Amino acid sequence: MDKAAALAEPLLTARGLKKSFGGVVANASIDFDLRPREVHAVIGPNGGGKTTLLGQLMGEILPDAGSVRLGGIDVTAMSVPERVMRGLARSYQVTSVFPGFTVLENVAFGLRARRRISSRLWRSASTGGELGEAAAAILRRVGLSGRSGVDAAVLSHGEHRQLEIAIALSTSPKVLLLDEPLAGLGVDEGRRMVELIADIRGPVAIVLVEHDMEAVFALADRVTVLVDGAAIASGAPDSIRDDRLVKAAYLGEDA
Amino acid sequence: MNRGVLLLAAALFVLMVAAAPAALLLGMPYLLSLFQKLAILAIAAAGLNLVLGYAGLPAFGHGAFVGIGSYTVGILAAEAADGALASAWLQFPLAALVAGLAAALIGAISLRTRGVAFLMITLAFGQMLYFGAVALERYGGDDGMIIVRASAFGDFTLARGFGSYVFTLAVLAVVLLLMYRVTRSPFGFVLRGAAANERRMLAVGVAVPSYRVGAFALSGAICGVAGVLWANYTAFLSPAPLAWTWSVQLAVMVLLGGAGTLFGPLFGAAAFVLLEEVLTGALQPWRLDWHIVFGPLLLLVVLAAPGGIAGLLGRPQHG
Repeated sequence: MDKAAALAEPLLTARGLKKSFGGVVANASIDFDLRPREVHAVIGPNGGGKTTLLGQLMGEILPDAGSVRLGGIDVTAMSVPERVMRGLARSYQVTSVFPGFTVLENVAFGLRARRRISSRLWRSASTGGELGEAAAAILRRVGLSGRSGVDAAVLSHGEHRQLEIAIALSTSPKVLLLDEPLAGLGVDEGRRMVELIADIRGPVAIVLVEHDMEAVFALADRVTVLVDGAAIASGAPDSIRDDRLVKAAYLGEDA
Repeated sequence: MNRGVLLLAAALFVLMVAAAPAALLLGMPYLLSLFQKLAILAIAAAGLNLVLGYAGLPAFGHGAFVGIGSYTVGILAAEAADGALASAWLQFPLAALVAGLAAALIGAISLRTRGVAFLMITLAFGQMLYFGAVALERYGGDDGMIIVRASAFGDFTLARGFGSYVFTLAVLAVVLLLMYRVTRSPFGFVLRGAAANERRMLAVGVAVPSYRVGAFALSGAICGVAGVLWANYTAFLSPAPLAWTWSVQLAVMVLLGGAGTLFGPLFGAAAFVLLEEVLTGALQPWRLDWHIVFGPLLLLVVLAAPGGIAGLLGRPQHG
Protein backbone atom coordinates (compact mmCIF):
# COMPACT_ATOMS: atom_id res chain seq x y z
CA MET A 1 0.00 0.00 0.00
CA ASP A 2 1.41 3.39 -0.89
CA LYS A 3 1.60 6.39 1.40
CA ALA A 4 -1.10 8.39 -0.34
CA ALA A 5 -3.57 5.58 0.20
CA ALA A 6 -2.58 5.22 3.82
CA LEU A 7 -3.24 8.91 4.42
CA ALA A 8 -6.50 9.06 2.50
CA GLU A 9 -9.75 9.10 4.39
CA PRO A 10 -11.21 5.59 4.59
CA LEU A 11 -13.91 4.74 2.05
CA LEU A 12 -15.74 2.66 4.60
CA THR A 13 -15.63 3.06 8.37
CA ALA A 14 -17.39 1.17 11.14
CA ARG A 15 -17.27 2.31 14.75
CA GLY A 16 -18.40 0.33 17.76
CA LEU A 17 -20.58 -2.15 15.86
CA LYS A 18 -22.49 -4.41 18.20
CA LYS A 19 -24.91 -7.21 17.48
CA SER A 20 -26.46 -9.92 19.62
CA PHE A 21 -28.83 -12.61 18.40
CA GLY A 22 -30.90 -13.57 21.41
CA GLY A 23 -28.31 -13.89 24.12
CA VAL A 24 -25.49 -14.74 21.74
CA VAL A 25 -23.04 -11.94 21.03
CA ALA A 26 -22.05 -11.94 17.34
CA ASN A 27 -20.16 -8.65 17.39
CA ALA A 28 -18.97 -7.22 20.71
CA SER A 29 -17.76 -3.81 19.53
CA ILE A 30 -16.02 -3.70 16.21
CA ASP A 31 -14.04 -0.84 14.72
CA PHE A 32 -13.18 -1.36 11.10
CA ASP A 33 -12.08 0.69 8.14
CA LEU A 34 -11.26 0.27 4.49
CA ARG A 35 -9.04 2.71 2.63
CA PRO A 36 -9.19 3.50 -1.09
CA ARG A 37 -7.57 0.85 -3.32
CA GLU A 38 -7.11 -1.47 -0.35
CA VAL A 39 -7.88 -5.15 0.11
CA HIS A 40 -8.69 -5.59 3.78
CA ALA A 41 -9.06 -9.24 4.70
CA VAL A 42 -11.15 -10.36 7.66
CA ILE A 43 -10.24 -13.78 9.02
CA GLY A 44 -11.12 -15.76 12.10
CA PRO A 45 -12.75 -19.01 13.20
CA ASN A 46 -16.35 -19.83 12.33
CA GLY A 47 -18.72 -17.94 14.58
CA GLY A 48 -16.15 -15.17 14.94
CA GLY A 49 -18.56 -12.59 13.56
CA LYS A 50 -17.22 -12.16 10.01
CA THR A 51 -20.46 -12.64 8.13
CA THR A 52 -22.36 -10.58 10.72
CA LEU A 53 -19.86 -7.76 10.14
CA LEU A 54 -20.43 -7.89 6.36
CA GLY A 55 -24.19 -7.89 6.94
CA GLN A 56 -23.90 -4.81 9.13
CA LEU A 57 -21.67 -2.98 6.66
CA MET A 58 -24.14 -3.79 3.87
CA GLY A 59 -27.18 -2.80 5.93
CA GLU A 60 -28.80 -6.23 5.88
CA ILE A 61 -28.30 -6.60 9.62
CA LEU A 62 -29.06 -3.55 11.74
CA PRO A 63 -26.47 -3.07 14.48
CA ASP A 64 -27.59 -2.83 18.12
CA ALA A 65 -25.10 0.00 18.48
CA GLY A 66 -22.41 1.70 16.44
CA SER A 67 -22.21 3.46 13.10
CA VAL A 68 -21.16 2.87 9.51
CA ARG A 69 -19.83 5.58 7.20
CA LEU A 70 -19.48 5.13 3.44
CA GLY A 71 -17.57 7.71 1.39
CA GLY A 72 -17.62 10.13 4.31
CA ILE A 73 -21.38 9.92 4.84
CA ASP A 74 -23.17 8.24 7.75
CA VAL A 75 -25.15 5.38 6.21
CA THR A 76 -26.11 3.61 9.47
CA ALA A 77 -29.81 4.35 8.92
CA MET A 78 -29.76 3.74 5.16
CA SER A 79 -31.38 0.76 3.49
CA VAL A 80 -29.42 -1.79 1.47
CA PRO A 81 -30.43 -0.33 -1.95
CA GLU A 82 -29.48 3.20 -0.81
CA ARG A 83 -26.02 1.97 0.17
CA VAL A 84 -25.68 0.14 -3.14
CA MET A 85 -26.47 3.37 -4.98
CA ARG A 86 -23.62 4.96 -3.03
CA GLY A 87 -21.19 2.36 -4.33
CA LEU A 88 -21.40 -0.64 -1.98
CA ALA A 89 -21.82 -4.21 -3.23
CA ARG A 90 -21.39 -7.70 -1.84
CA SER A 91 -21.17 -11.36 -2.71
CA TYR A 92 -22.54 -14.18 -0.58
CA GLN A 93 -20.95 -17.15 1.07
CA VAL A 94 -23.81 -19.40 0.01
CA THR A 95 -24.45 -18.71 -3.67
CA SER A 96 -27.30 -16.26 -4.08
CA VAL A 97 -28.27 -15.72 -7.71
CA PHE A 98 -31.59 -15.35 -9.58
CA PRO A 99 -32.65 -18.88 -10.56
CA GLY A 100 -35.00 -19.06 -13.53
CA PHE A 101 -33.22 -16.16 -15.24
CA THR A 102 -30.37 -16.42 -17.71
CA VAL A 103 -26.83 -15.58 -16.64
CA LEU A 104 -27.05 -12.40 -18.74
CA GLU A 105 -30.33 -11.36 -17.06
CA ASN A 106 -28.77 -12.00 -13.64
CA VAL A 107 -26.20 -9.33 -14.41
CA ALA A 108 -28.73 -7.01 -16.10
CA PHE A 109 -30.67 -6.47 -12.84
CA GLY A 110 -27.77 -4.57 -11.30
CA LEU A 111 -26.96 -2.72 -14.51
CA ARG A 112 -30.53 -1.44 -14.75
CA ALA A 113 -30.59 -0.44 -11.09
CA ARG A 114 -27.36 1.51 -11.62
CA ARG A 115 -28.81 3.27 -14.66
CA ARG A 116 -32.04 3.88 -12.74
CA ILE A 117 -34.18 2.26 -15.41
CA SER A 118 -35.51 -0.64 -13.30
CA SER A 119 -38.89 1.03 -12.90
CA ARG A 120 -39.69 1.28 -16.60
CA LEU A 121 -43.13 -0.20 -17.00
CA TRP A 122 -43.93 -0.17 -20.66
CA ARG A 123 -40.65 -0.88 -22.38
CA SER A 124 -39.35 -4.38 -22.93
CA ALA A 125 -36.56 -5.44 -20.58
CA SER A 126 -34.14 -5.86 -23.44
CA THR A 127 -30.57 -6.98 -22.87
CA GLY A 128 -29.39 -5.47 -26.13
CA GLY A 129 -27.54 -2.26 -26.87
CA GLU A 130 -25.26 -0.59 -24.36
CA LEU A 131 -26.72 -2.55 -21.44
CA GLY A 132 -26.09 -5.84 -23.22
CA GLU A 133 -22.53 -4.83 -24.02
CA ALA A 134 -21.89 -3.87 -20.39
CA ALA A 135 -23.32 -7.21 -19.25
CA ALA A 136 -21.20 -9.11 -21.78
CA ALA A 137 -18.09 -7.23 -20.63
CA ILE A 138 -18.70 -8.26 -17.00
CA LEU A 139 -19.33 -11.88 -17.98
CA ARG A 140 -16.12 -11.87 -20.04
CA ARG A 141 -14.25 -10.52 -17.06
CA VAL A 142 -15.41 -13.28 -14.69
CA GLY A 143 -15.05 -15.96 -17.39
CA LEU A 144 -18.72 -16.72 -18.03
CA SER A 145 -18.95 -15.45 -21.62
CA GLY A 146 -19.96 -18.79 -23.06
CA ARG A 147 -22.79 -19.23 -20.56
CA SER A 148 -24.71 -15.98 -20.94
CA GLY A 149 -27.89 -17.59 -22.28
CA VAL A 150 -28.05 -20.39 -19.71
CA ASP A 151 -30.51 -20.50 -16.79
CA ALA A 152 -28.52 -19.50 -13.70
CA ALA A 153 -30.10 -22.41 -11.82
CA VAL A 154 -28.23 -25.01 -13.87
CA LEU A 155 -24.69 -23.60 -13.50
CA SER A 156 -21.98 -25.64 -11.77
CA HIS A 157 -20.79 -24.60 -8.32
CA GLY A 158 -17.68 -22.97 -9.74
CA GLU A 159 -19.74 -21.03 -12.28
CA HIS A 160 -22.13 -19.95 -9.52
CA ARG A 161 -19.18 -18.46 -7.64
CA GLN A 162 -18.15 -16.57 -10.80
CA LEU A 163 -21.72 -15.34 -11.29
CA GLU A 164 -21.74 -14.16 -7.64
CA ILE A 165 -18.86 -11.84 -8.49
CA ALA A 166 -20.44 -10.77 -11.80
CA ILE A 167 -23.69 -9.75 -10.06
CA ALA A 168 -21.72 -7.82 -7.44
CA LEU A 169 -19.79 -6.00 -10.18
CA SER A 170 -22.98 -5.14 -12.09
CA THR A 171 -23.69 -2.15 -9.85
CA SER A 172 -20.23 -0.61 -10.53
CA PRO A 173 -19.22 -0.64 -6.86
CA LYS A 174 -16.48 1.43 -5.26
CA VAL A 175 -16.44 -0.90 -2.27
CA LEU A 176 -16.92 -4.64 -2.63
CA LEU A 177 -17.60 -7.02 0.25
CA LEU A 178 -16.64 -10.58 -0.66
CA ASP A 179 -17.90 -13.34 1.63
CA GLU A 180 -15.72 -16.42 1.14
CA PRO A 181 -15.43 -16.19 -2.66
CA LEU A 182 -13.32 -19.37 -2.70
CA ALA A 183 -15.80 -21.47 -0.70
CA GLY A 184 -16.08 -24.94 -2.21
CA LEU A 185 -13.79 -24.23 -5.16
CA GLY A 186 -11.13 -26.68 -6.38
CA VAL A 187 -7.47 -25.74 -6.57
CA ASP A 188 -7.57 -24.48 -10.17
CA GLU A 189 -10.89 -22.69 -9.74
CA GLY A 190 -9.56 -21.12 -6.56
CA ARG A 191 -6.49 -19.86 -8.32
CA ARG A 192 -8.61 -18.32 -11.06
CA MET A 193 -10.80 -16.65 -8.41
CA VAL A 194 -7.71 -15.12 -6.78
CA GLU A 195 -6.64 -13.83 -10.20
CA LEU A 196 -10.10 -12.38 -10.74
CA ILE A 197 -10.05 -10.57 -7.40
CA ALA A 198 -6.55 -9.28 -8.15
CA ASP A 199 -7.92 -7.96 -11.45
CA ILE A 200 -10.85 -6.20 -9.75
CA ARG A 201 -8.84 -4.65 -6.91
CA GLY A 202 -7.50 -1.14 -7.19
CA PRO A 203 -10.34 0.99 -8.49
CA VAL A 204 -12.53 -1.14 -6.24
CA ALA A 205 -11.60 -1.39 -2.57
CA ILE A 206 -12.35 -4.83 -1.19
CA VAL A 207 -13.29 -6.33 2.17
CA LEU A 208 -12.36 -9.99 1.85
CA VAL A 209 -13.73 -12.59 4.24
CA GLU A 210 -11.94 -15.84 3.42
CA HIS A 211 -10.78 -19.05 5.06
CA ASP A 212 -8.17 -19.86 2.44
CA MET A 213 -5.02 -18.38 4.01
CA GLU A 214 -3.02 -18.67 0.82
CA ALA A 215 -5.54 -16.45 -0.96
CA VAL A 216 -5.70 -14.03 1.97
CA PHE A 217 -1.95 -13.56 2.13
CA ALA A 218 -1.73 -13.29 -1.67
CA LEU A 219 -4.34 -10.53 -1.87
CA ALA A 220 -4.55 -8.61 1.41
CA ASP A 221 -2.91 -5.27 2.18
CA ARG A 222 -4.20 -5.53 5.69
CA VAL A 223 -5.69 -8.32 7.79
CA THR A 224 -8.07 -8.11 10.73
CA VAL A 225 -8.68 -11.14 12.91
CA LEU A 226 -12.14 -11.56 14.45
CA VAL A 227 -12.56 -13.94 17.36
CA ASP A 228 -15.77 -14.17 19.40
CA GLY A 229 -17.05 -10.96 17.87
CA ALA A 230 -14.00 -8.86 18.65
CA ALA A 231 -11.03 -7.76 16.55
CA ILE A 232 -8.06 -9.29 18.38
CA ALA A 233 -5.49 -8.10 15.85
CA SER A 234 -5.22 -5.92 12.79
CA GLY A 235 -2.25 -5.06 10.61
CA ALA A 236 -0.08 -5.99 7.65
CA PRO A 237 -0.28 -9.67 6.61
CA ASP A 238 3.24 -10.42 7.83
CA SER A 239 2.66 -8.98 11.27
CA ILE A 240 -0.60 -10.98 11.56
CA ARG A 241 1.18 -14.16 10.55
CA ASP A 242 3.64 -13.61 13.41
CA ASP A 243 1.11 -12.44 16.00
CA ARG A 244 1.03 -14.72 19.01
CA LEU A 245 -2.62 -14.17 19.84
CA VAL A 246 -3.62 -14.94 16.31
CA LYS A 247 -1.55 -18.08 16.24
CA ALA A 248 -3.12 -19.25 19.44
CA ALA A 249 -6.66 -18.39 18.49
CA TYR A 250 -6.83 -19.25 14.88
CA LEU A 251 -3.90 -20.33 12.80
CA GLY A 252 -2.75 -22.93 15.30
CA GLU A 253 0.59 -22.82 17.08
CA ASP A 254 2.42 -24.57 14.29
CA ALA A 255 1.37 -22.10 11.62
CA MET B 1 -44.54 -19.04 -24.15
CA ASN B 2 -45.08 -22.44 -25.71
CA ARG B 3 -47.41 -23.57 -28.43
CA GLY B 4 -49.87 -25.45 -26.22
CA VAL B 5 -50.58 -22.40 -24.10
CA LEU B 6 -51.01 -20.17 -27.15
CA LEU B 7 -53.33 -22.66 -28.83
CA LEU B 8 -55.58 -23.00 -25.78
CA ALA B 9 -55.68 -19.23 -25.30
CA ALA B 10 -56.50 -18.69 -28.98
CA ALA B 11 -59.19 -21.39 -28.83
CA LEU B 12 -60.81 -19.76 -25.80
CA PHE B 13 -60.80 -16.36 -27.47
CA VAL B 14 -62.26 -17.70 -30.72
CA LEU B 15 -64.91 -19.53 -28.70
CA MET B 16 -65.85 -16.40 -26.77
CA VAL B 17 -65.91 -14.17 -29.85
CA ALA B 18 -67.88 -16.73 -31.87
CA ALA B 19 -70.34 -17.06 -29.02
CA ALA B 20 -71.58 -13.52 -29.65
CA PRO B 21 -73.16 -14.04 -33.11
CA ALA B 22 -74.01 -17.65 -32.25
CA ALA B 23 -75.99 -16.60 -29.20
CA LEU B 24 -77.80 -13.96 -31.23
CA LEU B 25 -78.62 -16.25 -34.15
CA LEU B 26 -79.53 -19.31 -32.11
CA GLY B 27 -81.27 -17.32 -29.39
CA MET B 28 -79.02 -18.48 -26.56
CA PRO B 29 -78.42 -15.38 -24.46
CA TYR B 30 -77.46 -17.68 -21.63
CA LEU B 31 -74.21 -18.54 -23.41
CA LEU B 32 -73.23 -14.88 -23.53
CA SER B 33 -74.03 -14.50 -19.86
CA LEU B 34 -71.80 -17.45 -18.97
CA PHE B 35 -68.88 -16.25 -21.08
CA GLN B 36 -69.19 -12.68 -19.87
CA LYS B 37 -68.90 -13.86 -16.29
CA LEU B 38 -65.84 -15.87 -17.34
CA ALA B 39 -64.25 -12.82 -18.97
CA ILE B 40 -64.85 -10.51 -15.99
CA LEU B 41 -63.41 -13.06 -13.56
CA ALA B 42 -60.43 -13.54 -15.90
CA ILE B 43 -59.76 -9.77 -15.80
CA ALA B 44 -59.82 -9.71 -11.99
CA ALA B 45 -57.67 -12.86 -11.81
CA ALA B 46 -55.19 -11.30 -14.29
CA GLY B 47 -54.93 -8.30 -11.95
CA LEU B 48 -54.33 -10.53 -8.94
CA ASN B 49 -51.81 -12.59 -10.93
CA LEU B 50 -49.40 -9.65 -11.02
CA VAL B 51 -49.09 -9.77 -7.24
CA LEU B 52 -49.80 -13.43 -6.48
CA GLY B 53 -48.12 -14.97 -9.52
CA TYR B 54 -45.37 -12.72 -10.82
CA ALA B 55 -44.40 -11.03 -7.55
CA GLY B 56 -44.98 -14.25 -5.60
CA LEU B 57 -46.87 -12.57 -2.75
CA PRO B 58 -49.72 -14.56 -1.15
CA ALA B 59 -52.37 -11.81 -1.36
CA PHE B 60 -55.82 -13.06 -0.37
CA GLY B 61 -57.87 -9.89 -0.21
CA HIS B 62 -58.22 -8.80 -3.83
CA GLY B 63 -61.99 -9.29 -3.86
CA ALA B 64 -62.11 -6.00 -1.98
CA PHE B 65 -60.75 -4.13 -5.01
CA VAL B 66 -63.38 -5.70 -7.26
CA GLY B 67 -65.90 -4.57 -4.66
CA ILE B 68 -64.57 -1.00 -4.72
CA GLY B 69 -65.13 -0.96 -8.49
CA SER B 70 -68.70 -2.21 -8.04
CA TYR B 71 -69.49 0.30 -5.32
CA THR B 72 -68.17 3.11 -7.51
CA VAL B 73 -70.87 2.23 -10.05
CA GLY B 74 -73.55 1.57 -7.43
CA ILE B 75 -72.97 4.70 -5.39
CA LEU B 76 -72.77 7.01 -8.42
CA ALA B 77 -75.95 5.46 -9.81
CA ALA B 78 -77.77 5.87 -6.51
CA GLU B 79 -76.61 9.44 -5.91
CA ALA B 80 -77.74 10.72 -9.31
CA ALA B 81 -80.94 8.94 -10.29
CA ASP B 82 -81.06 10.93 -13.52
CA GLY B 83 -77.87 9.15 -14.59
CA ALA B 84 -75.73 12.29 -14.47
CA LEU B 85 -72.89 10.29 -12.91
CA ALA B 86 -73.39 7.09 -14.89
CA SER B 87 -70.80 8.00 -17.50
CA ALA B 88 -68.39 5.12 -18.00
CA TRP B 89 -65.79 7.74 -18.94
CA LEU B 90 -66.00 8.87 -15.31
CA GLN B 91 -66.59 5.51 -13.62
CA PHE B 92 -63.77 3.45 -15.06
CA PRO B 93 -60.96 5.91 -14.22
CA LEU B 94 -62.48 6.68 -10.83
CA ALA B 95 -62.89 2.99 -9.92
CA ALA B 96 -59.34 2.20 -11.08
CA LEU B 97 -57.99 5.15 -9.12
CA VAL B 98 -59.80 4.41 -5.85
CA ALA B 99 -59.12 0.66 -6.03
CA GLY B 100 -55.50 1.32 -6.99
CA LEU B 101 -54.96 3.72 -4.09
CA ALA B 102 -56.64 1.36 -1.63
CA ALA B 103 -54.46 -1.49 -2.91
CA ALA B 104 -51.30 0.62 -2.62
CA LEU B 105 -52.17 1.52 0.98
CA ILE B 106 -53.07 -2.05 1.95
CA GLY B 107 -49.98 -3.32 0.13
CA ALA B 108 -47.66 -0.85 1.84
CA ILE B 109 -48.88 -1.97 5.27
CA SER B 110 -49.11 -5.71 4.51
CA LEU B 111 -45.63 -5.76 2.95
CA ARG B 112 -44.12 -5.08 6.36
CA THR B 113 -44.82 -8.74 7.07
CA ARG B 114 -43.93 -12.01 5.39
CA GLY B 115 -45.46 -15.37 4.52
CA VAL B 116 -48.46 -16.46 6.56
CA ALA B 117 -48.66 -13.12 8.40
CA PHE B 118 -48.82 -11.34 5.03
CA LEU B 119 -51.58 -13.67 3.87
CA MET B 120 -53.58 -13.08 7.07
CA ILE B 121 -53.21 -9.30 6.89
CA THR B 122 -54.38 -9.08 3.28
CA LEU B 123 -57.30 -11.32 4.23
CA ALA B 124 -58.06 -9.12 7.24
CA PHE B 125 -58.00 -5.91 5.19
CA GLY B 126 -60.39 -7.52 2.73
CA GLN B 127 -62.76 -8.45 5.56
CA MET B 128 -62.51 -4.93 6.98
CA LEU B 129 -63.67 -3.46 3.68
CA TYR B 130 -66.37 -6.13 3.43
CA PHE B 131 -67.86 -5.13 6.79
CA GLY B 132 -67.41 -1.51 5.81
CA ALA B 133 -69.58 -2.17 2.75
CA VAL B 134 -72.13 -4.10 4.81
CA ALA B 135 -72.40 -1.05 7.09
CA LEU B 136 -73.35 1.19 4.15
CA GLU B 137 -77.11 1.08 4.84
CA ARG B 138 -77.65 3.86 2.36
CA TYR B 139 -76.43 1.54 -0.38
CA GLY B 140 -78.30 -1.58 0.62
CA GLY B 141 -76.07 -2.76 3.46
CA ASP B 142 -76.00 -6.51 3.79
CA ASP B 143 -78.81 -7.09 1.27
CA GLY B 144 -77.33 -4.95 -1.46
CA MET B 145 -79.50 -3.06 -3.89
CA ILE B 146 -80.49 -2.87 -7.50
CA ILE B 147 -78.33 -0.62 -9.65
CA VAL B 148 -80.86 1.52 -11.50
CA ARG B 149 -78.42 3.02 -13.98
CA ALA B 150 -75.92 1.03 -15.99
CA SER B 151 -72.65 2.70 -16.89
CA ALA B 152 -72.59 4.10 -20.39
CA PHE B 153 -70.21 5.67 -22.86
CA GLY B 154 -72.70 8.19 -24.28
CA ASP B 155 -75.40 6.03 -25.85
CA PHE B 156 -73.40 2.84 -25.56
CA THR B 157 -74.67 1.13 -22.41
CA LEU B 158 -72.85 -1.55 -20.45
CA ALA B 159 -76.11 -3.11 -19.26
CA ARG B 160 -76.03 -6.83 -19.93
CA GLY B 161 -76.34 -7.64 -23.61
CA PHE B 162 -74.49 -8.06 -26.86
CA GLY B 163 -72.65 -4.72 -26.79
CA SER B 164 -71.64 -5.09 -23.17
CA TYR B 165 -70.36 -8.60 -23.89
CA VAL B 166 -68.16 -7.49 -26.77
CA PHE B 167 -66.89 -4.59 -24.70
CA THR B 168 -65.94 -6.96 -21.86
CA LEU B 169 -63.98 -9.15 -24.26
CA ALA B 170 -62.14 -6.07 -25.51
CA VAL B 171 -61.25 -5.06 -21.94
CA LEU B 172 -59.96 -8.58 -21.29
CA ALA B 173 -57.78 -8.37 -24.40
CA VAL B 174 -56.44 -4.94 -23.37
CA VAL B 175 -55.70 -6.14 -19.82
CA LEU B 176 -53.83 -9.18 -21.12
CA LEU B 177 -51.85 -6.96 -23.49
CA LEU B 178 -51.05 -4.66 -20.57
CA MET B 179 -49.91 -7.63 -18.49
CA TYR B 180 -47.81 -8.89 -21.40
CA ARG B 181 -45.98 -5.57 -21.61
CA VAL B 182 -45.64 -4.96 -17.88
CA THR B 183 -44.38 -8.41 -16.95
CA ARG B 184 -41.72 -8.21 -19.65
CA SER B 185 -40.64 -4.69 -18.71
CA PRO B 186 -37.76 -3.91 -16.34
CA PHE B 187 -40.43 -3.33 -13.66
CA GLY B 188 -41.90 -6.79 -14.26
CA PHE B 189 -38.45 -8.35 -14.22
CA VAL B 190 -37.81 -6.79 -10.81
CA LEU B 191 -41.05 -8.29 -9.45
CA ARG B 192 -40.17 -11.72 -10.79
CA GLY B 193 -36.51 -11.51 -9.82
CA ALA B 194 -37.39 -10.41 -6.30
CA ALA B 195 -39.76 -13.38 -6.02
CA ALA B 196 -36.83 -15.62 -6.97
CA ASN B 197 -34.31 -13.93 -4.63
CA GLU B 198 -35.40 -10.86 -2.68
CA ARG B 199 -32.17 -10.40 -0.70
CA ARG B 200 -30.07 -10.34 -3.86
CA MET B 201 -32.46 -7.92 -5.58
CA LEU B 202 -31.99 -5.49 -2.67
CA ALA B 203 -28.23 -6.04 -2.84
CA VAL B 204 -28.09 -4.91 -6.48
CA GLY B 205 -29.69 -1.62 -5.47
CA VAL B 206 -33.39 -2.16 -6.15
CA ALA B 207 -35.82 -0.84 -3.53
CA VAL B 208 -38.00 -3.96 -3.75
CA PRO B 209 -40.81 -2.79 -1.40
CA SER B 210 -41.61 0.21 -3.63
CA TYR B 211 -41.93 -2.04 -6.67
CA ARG B 212 -44.24 -4.36 -4.77
CA VAL B 213 -46.45 -1.48 -3.66
CA GLY B 214 -46.56 -0.40 -7.31
CA ALA B 215 -47.60 -3.92 -8.30
CA PHE B 216 -50.37 -3.82 -5.67
CA ALA B 217 -51.63 -0.51 -7.03
CA LEU B 218 -51.73 -1.71 -10.63
CA SER B 219 -53.28 -5.03 -9.71
CA GLY B 220 -55.89 -3.30 -7.52
CA ALA B 221 -56.75 -0.90 -10.34
CA ILE B 222 -57.33 -3.79 -12.76
CA CYS B 223 -59.57 -5.48 -10.19
CA GLY B 224 -61.43 -2.16 -9.83
CA VAL B 225 -62.11 -2.15 -13.58
CA ALA B 226 -63.38 -5.74 -13.26
CA GLY B 227 -65.66 -4.48 -10.48
CA VAL B 228 -67.26 -1.85 -12.75
CA LEU B 229 -67.96 -4.59 -15.31
CA TRP B 230 -69.31 -6.89 -12.60
CA ALA B 231 -71.72 -4.28 -11.26
CA ASN B 232 -73.10 -3.74 -14.75
CA TYR B 233 -73.22 -7.47 -15.43
CA THR B 234 -75.23 -8.24 -12.30
CA ALA B 235 -77.08 -4.87 -12.26
CA PHE B 236 -76.97 -5.36 -8.54
CA LEU B 237 -74.80 -3.78 -5.86
CA SER B 238 -73.73 -6.36 -3.29
CA PRO B 239 -70.96 -6.64 -0.72
CA ALA B 240 -70.39 -10.22 -1.91
CA PRO B 241 -67.29 -9.52 -4.04
CA LEU B 242 -65.57 -8.06 -0.99
CA ALA B 243 -66.07 -11.21 1.07
CA TRP B 244 -63.08 -13.48 1.60
CA THR B 245 -64.72 -16.22 -0.48
CA TRP B 246 -64.31 -14.06 -3.58
CA SER B 247 -60.69 -13.33 -2.80
CA VAL B 248 -59.96 -17.01 -2.36
CA GLN B 249 -61.85 -17.88 -5.54
CA LEU B 250 -59.73 -15.41 -7.51
CA ALA B 251 -56.58 -16.89 -5.99
CA VAL B 252 -57.80 -20.38 -6.86
CA MET B 253 -58.31 -19.31 -10.48
CA VAL B 254 -54.78 -17.92 -10.65
CA LEU B 255 -53.24 -21.04 -9.12
CA LEU B 256 -55.44 -23.43 -11.11
CA GLY B 257 -54.67 -21.70 -14.41
CA GLY B 258 -50.97 -21.14 -13.77
CA ALA B 259 -49.62 -18.43 -11.47
CA GLY B 260 -47.10 -16.09 -13.04
CA THR B 261 -48.13 -16.91 -16.61
CA LEU B 262 -49.88 -14.54 -19.02
CA PHE B 263 -52.86 -16.75 -19.81
CA GLY B 264 -53.03 -18.64 -16.50
CA PRO B 265 -55.81 -16.40 -15.08
CA LEU B 266 -57.88 -16.87 -18.26
CA PHE B 267 -57.47 -20.65 -18.10
CA GLY B 268 -58.25 -20.66 -14.38
CA ALA B 269 -61.37 -18.52 -14.77
CA ALA B 270 -62.53 -20.70 -17.67
CA ALA B 271 -61.99 -23.91 -15.72
CA PHE B 272 -63.75 -22.44 -12.70
CA VAL B 273 -66.81 -21.07 -14.51
CA LEU B 274 -67.24 -24.00 -16.89
CA LEU B 275 -66.79 -26.63 -14.17
CA GLU B 276 -69.24 -24.79 -11.94
CA GLU B 277 -71.72 -24.85 -14.82
CA VAL B 278 -71.24 -28.47 -15.80
CA LEU B 279 -70.90 -29.91 -12.31
CA THR B 280 -73.86 -28.01 -10.88
CA GLY B 281 -76.02 -29.47 -13.65
CA ALA B 282 -74.57 -32.96 -13.36
CA LEU B 283 -74.88 -33.14 -9.58
CA GLN B 284 -78.41 -31.77 -9.45
CA PRO B 285 -80.12 -35.19 -9.27
CA TRP B 286 -78.24 -35.87 -6.03
CA ARG B 287 -78.64 -32.28 -4.79
CA LEU B 288 -74.91 -32.04 -4.23
CA ASP B 289 -72.90 -28.83 -4.32
CA TRP B 290 -70.40 -28.65 -7.19
CA HIS B 291 -67.55 -27.91 -4.80
CA ILE B 292 -67.69 -31.52 -3.63
CA VAL B 293 -66.05 -32.47 -6.92
CA PHE B 294 -64.17 -29.21 -7.49
CA GLY B 295 -62.37 -29.41 -4.13
CA PRO B 296 -60.67 -32.76 -4.73
CA LEU B 297 -59.98 -31.73 -8.33
CA LEU B 298 -58.20 -28.61 -7.12
CA LEU B 299 -56.21 -30.66 -4.63
CA LEU B 300 -55.17 -32.95 -7.46
CA VAL B 301 -53.98 -30.03 -9.59
CA VAL B 302 -52.03 -28.45 -6.75
CA LEU B 303 -50.34 -31.74 -5.90
CA ALA B 304 -49.79 -33.15 -9.39
CA ALA B 305 -49.37 -29.96 -11.43
CA PRO B 306 -48.05 -27.08 -9.33
CA GLY B 307 -47.73 -25.00 -12.52
CA GLY B 308 -51.50 -25.21 -13.07
CA ILE B 309 -53.09 -25.66 -16.49
CA ALA B 310 -50.46 -23.51 -18.22
CA GLY B 311 -47.77 -25.60 -16.54
CA LEU B 312 -49.38 -28.82 -17.81
CA LEU B 313 -49.19 -27.49 -21.36
CA GLY B 314 -45.47 -26.85 -21.12
CA ARG B 315 -42.74 -25.51 -18.92
CA PRO B 316 -43.14 -21.81 -18.22
CA GLN B 317 -40.14 -19.73 -19.25
CA HIS B 318 -38.79 -16.47 -18.03
CA GLY B 319 -37.97 -13.73 -20.48
